[in-house]
Amino acid sequence: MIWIQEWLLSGLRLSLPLIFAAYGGMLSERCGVANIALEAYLLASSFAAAATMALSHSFVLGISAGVLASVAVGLVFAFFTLKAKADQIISGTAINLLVMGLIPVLGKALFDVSGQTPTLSLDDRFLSSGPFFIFAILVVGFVVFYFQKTVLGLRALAAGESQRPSQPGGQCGLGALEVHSSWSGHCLFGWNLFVDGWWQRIHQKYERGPRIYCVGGADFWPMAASSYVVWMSSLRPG
Amino acid sequence: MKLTMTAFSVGLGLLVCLTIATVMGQNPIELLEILFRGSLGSLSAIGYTLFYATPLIFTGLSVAVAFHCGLFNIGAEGQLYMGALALTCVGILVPQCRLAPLVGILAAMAGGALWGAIAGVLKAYRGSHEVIVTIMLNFISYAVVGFAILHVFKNPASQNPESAPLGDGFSIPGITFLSPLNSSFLIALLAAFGVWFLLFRTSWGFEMRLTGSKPETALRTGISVKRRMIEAMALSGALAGLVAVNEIMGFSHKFRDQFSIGYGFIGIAVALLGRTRPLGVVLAAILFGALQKGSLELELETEKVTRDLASIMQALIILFVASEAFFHRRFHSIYERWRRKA
Repeated sequence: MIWIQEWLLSGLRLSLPLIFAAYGGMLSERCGVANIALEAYLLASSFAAAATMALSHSFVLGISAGVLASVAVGLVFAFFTLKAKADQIISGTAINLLVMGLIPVLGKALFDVSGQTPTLSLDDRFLSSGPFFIFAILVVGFVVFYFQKTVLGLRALAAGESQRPSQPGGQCGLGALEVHSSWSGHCLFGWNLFVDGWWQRIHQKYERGPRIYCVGGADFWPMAASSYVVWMSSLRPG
Repeated sequence: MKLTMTAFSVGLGLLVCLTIATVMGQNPIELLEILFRGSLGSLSAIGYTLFYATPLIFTGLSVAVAFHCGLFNIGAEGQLYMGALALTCVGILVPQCRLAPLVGILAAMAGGALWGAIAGVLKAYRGSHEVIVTIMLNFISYAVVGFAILHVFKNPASQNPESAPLGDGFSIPGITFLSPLNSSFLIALLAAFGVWFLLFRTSWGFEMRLTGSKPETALRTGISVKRRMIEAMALSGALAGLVAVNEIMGFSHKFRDQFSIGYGFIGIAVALLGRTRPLGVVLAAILFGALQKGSLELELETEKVTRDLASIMQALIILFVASEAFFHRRFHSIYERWRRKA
């Protein structure tokens, strides 16, 4: 029986990044933004968290750096898609490319190795993913509350709903409100994803070694999952 | 006007990139000089630039064709791998084939076309979003190709993850220029002309473009929208598959696992920069090829920056081109204000 337990636990552990990224994908999909740039969020957050941990040895700083990096990339993406009205798919791809290029350059500048951070010492790693899992479940409640009870969340939903039918044609609907709530959705979204990158980086480190690209495409699955869920729910009558 | 705006966006991307390099502690003038010398400074540099541009012409055309039909093909990467796999299958299983180069080219196109058509069929008949489908198909193709190359066609004589060499006939003449440039560059130019002719000079192309721009009208005029979509994705995949001709038949003569450095994704940028026009795609691909080659030189000649700078620069160019209306408006209004004051 022990192997079943092990298997289930490792399943839960490995699903963590997907869960967090899927939240992120869902948040932005609901705001009417198809987000291809999730990969970039993950990479930026992982790199920032790990690099800060390696330099400062402080969990607080490492985590904050992870959040801020992810939010920053989210804001850049939001600026180009919402403010400058670039195509979401094109700018998402470009942001991915941008971050994939920036990380080696930054790594080279900071640690003189391109593409990775130095291996974190044992003291700088989280050895258990328990707290993250509890946090993942708490975030479900938070997301439900956000979309059902807060003004911001309801506006974000409305913006997403009004945008979807208008996609082939021109812009319609809520104008400034749309932009506003999508922006806030983006910030939230970045905040959500940080946990993911942070987890990947600090937790995964002691198992897999210091590869940044351990994220490698992990985000496209949650994106597909979340868009699938959103499309299914939009098919529901009423 | 369009050309000015494109040049403006490219300039802006270059400027931001140079700023980043300066922050990293690299002299920007020196950097520009290395980039230029590395990409266009000598005959061999030009040869390499065109060699790197060739796959980008193919993937750029691939994205452009799908785009004219209103479809976003993110899957050129997967399609080019499947094309390469088809070419490798033929090249290894039938090594003494007659008309080998032609058979190889057709196999590469067929492999890509089949892979692209899957997304087209799903889009046309099931309404699945082609972006999601093509991304997922990319991952499937990586796995399939990895399995086939490492377990079925593995080269027993080599430690590298690559297939056994193809039959002798499967090669196309080189153009050299002291570089691996080969006649697939000419095939690329031919393909660009072919795409232009098909899209803008035949009724089939017109129907395809109408399907892309006004699907409702196309439906009402009796065009088979579904078939045009599938055909567009198949053609798009076939063009992506041609990348294999450059890589395998023109250069390495075997399938090196993960030979593509994201040609399919850079192809999106190339198509965008080229305004999805065949001639524009060729020019944009040459620009990106030059960036690629120049940045390899950066890797060797500078201490502070690496070739990843090329990827940053490409990303910035895409971003600025995609949102150029915004920036153009901004700078125009600043310019107007400044002129009024003066």
